[in-house]
Amino acid sequence: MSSGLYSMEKKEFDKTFDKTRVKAYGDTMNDGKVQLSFTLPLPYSEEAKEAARQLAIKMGIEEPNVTYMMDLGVGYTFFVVYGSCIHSVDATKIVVPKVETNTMSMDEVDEYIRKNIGRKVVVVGACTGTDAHTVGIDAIMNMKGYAGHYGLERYQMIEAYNLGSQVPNEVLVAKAIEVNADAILVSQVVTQKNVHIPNMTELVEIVEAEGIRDRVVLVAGGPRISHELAKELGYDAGFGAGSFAEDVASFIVQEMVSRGIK
Amino acid sequence: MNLYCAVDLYKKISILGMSKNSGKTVVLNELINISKEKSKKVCLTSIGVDGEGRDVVYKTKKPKIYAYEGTLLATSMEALKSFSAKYEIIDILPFSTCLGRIVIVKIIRDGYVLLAGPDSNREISQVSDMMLALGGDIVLIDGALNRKTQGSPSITDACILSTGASLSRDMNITIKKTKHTVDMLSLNVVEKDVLDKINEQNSKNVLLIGDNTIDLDIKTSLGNEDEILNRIDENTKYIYIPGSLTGTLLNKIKGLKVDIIVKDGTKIFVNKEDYDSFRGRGGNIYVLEKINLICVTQNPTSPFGYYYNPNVFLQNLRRALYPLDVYDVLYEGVGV
Repeated sequence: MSSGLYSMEKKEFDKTFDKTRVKAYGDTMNDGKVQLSFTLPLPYSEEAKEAARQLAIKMGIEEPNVTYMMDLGVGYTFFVVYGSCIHSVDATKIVVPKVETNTMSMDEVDEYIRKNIGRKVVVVGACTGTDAHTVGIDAIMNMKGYAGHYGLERYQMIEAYNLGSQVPNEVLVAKAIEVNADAILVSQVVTQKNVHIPNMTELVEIVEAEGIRDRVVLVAGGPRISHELAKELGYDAGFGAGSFAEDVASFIVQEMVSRGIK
Repeated sequence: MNLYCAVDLYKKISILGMSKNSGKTVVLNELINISKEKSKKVCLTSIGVDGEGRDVVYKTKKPKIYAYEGTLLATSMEALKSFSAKYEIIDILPFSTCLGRIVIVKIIRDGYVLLAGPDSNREISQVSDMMLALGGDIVLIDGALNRKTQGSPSITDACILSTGASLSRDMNITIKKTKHTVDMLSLNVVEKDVLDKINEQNSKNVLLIGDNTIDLDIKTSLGNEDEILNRIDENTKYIYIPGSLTGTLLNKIKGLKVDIIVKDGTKIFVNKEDYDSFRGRGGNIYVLEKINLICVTQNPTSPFGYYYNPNVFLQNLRRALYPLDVYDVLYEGVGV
């Protein structure tokens, strides 16, 4: 009887890794195992469980297995589904445009400004629109910085103004004009239904309408901002998660010099 | 005006959109084909990224841009890698974008192209002139998202507005928003003697115009709303704002029987409610230069899986925007 408890036969698992067909990894190569969680607006029932299964099949999940479901009340049910995703991606064909600058340290940035610009660089930043999350702009601007990377306020040659969160675009541009800013930083952290898109284009349009687009460096940042999106929106650069103050500062000063802003 | 006449009449046409996926690229392709039929040498550029197979924000499918031999393009270095068309580089310009330097290329064998033009209005207008000087007959400037600054009369001499179902699930909201944008883009030019007074001053500051013209020495209305309000007296008939006009200023001066003058319709950032209440209290907004909005195009389908009845949408838009022409380039052609 004990032999039924343990399988003693030799198993041959798929071990081939093909970079042109990368699948999700569970515990063996190419098994495609994924876990999903979602809520359906259906009352807790066997029918709702079947609906979750069918939805998973439509998403390309083979043999979906509803491992957990919970009644959320008022006719909603939460699900956790396991299964094998049939899709694969070609990792060799992925091109992600990134900001191409030589990242300098804080001291190097200060030195670069002294040598090439010869005056303090003025940077205005805010988390604009409806977004109330200052973590992004604070990580870049606050003196103490983030994860050991000091913020722009600590740079000797940078005059930094952090306007905080939920700043209307017109207030940000007004401040930029008032202090003669060289760069405007816009942070968008948590937004829903893509409201950050029209909010960010409005800023570019106001900057253009005020006639200062050519003399400010416009930088966008946030977890959902990529460099490619920044181009589409009309910004000079976009910094995603994992960027620090020195990345942003290096980009601003090098862009200013290449544009001839003094 | 239909697209056929537009290609004959204008040298620089820009396409503005109400939102993403409103059909700008479809209109661009239509204009490219019409120009080819009329054997005009087309020049293309854009303020965003256009012609990529998939959208950067939503990852939805998008139409590509097909360029014919002889076409001139101003795009960025990185974008060249996605061309299926063969090209030769004519000039490398000092304008930088996220996707590398701006280059002017000439297509030597038909194929798909990717447009990622310069970022600022000044650069757009410079590359347009360069391409015309290189022998182009017509410049087509594709827009990005809901951006409208490229419609400014200092950049192009005609523009087309694209609207579509992606703006809202409710057709009436889409039509209301489109109507407001059209109203802002087609504001009237201020009367001649006031226009002369402003040109006479040749100032980049906010001006108060009444019996005399007063230069307030304020560069922008942003953040200076209260100061402007304090300086207005009973003689003031008009305020000239050199930069952008926002709802904040409009709400402060409504009811004062003072009209506002801005450079052109792309400088206005006022929502419908603020504008209506300003108008209701007897205020008007005028412009120095009128934007030449020649027609509106519609896209009744949204990439989010819903659509309007194309015919009903077309009829309602036409009624709302009369006398402006409205076309659906896929549903009924370009209105010949």
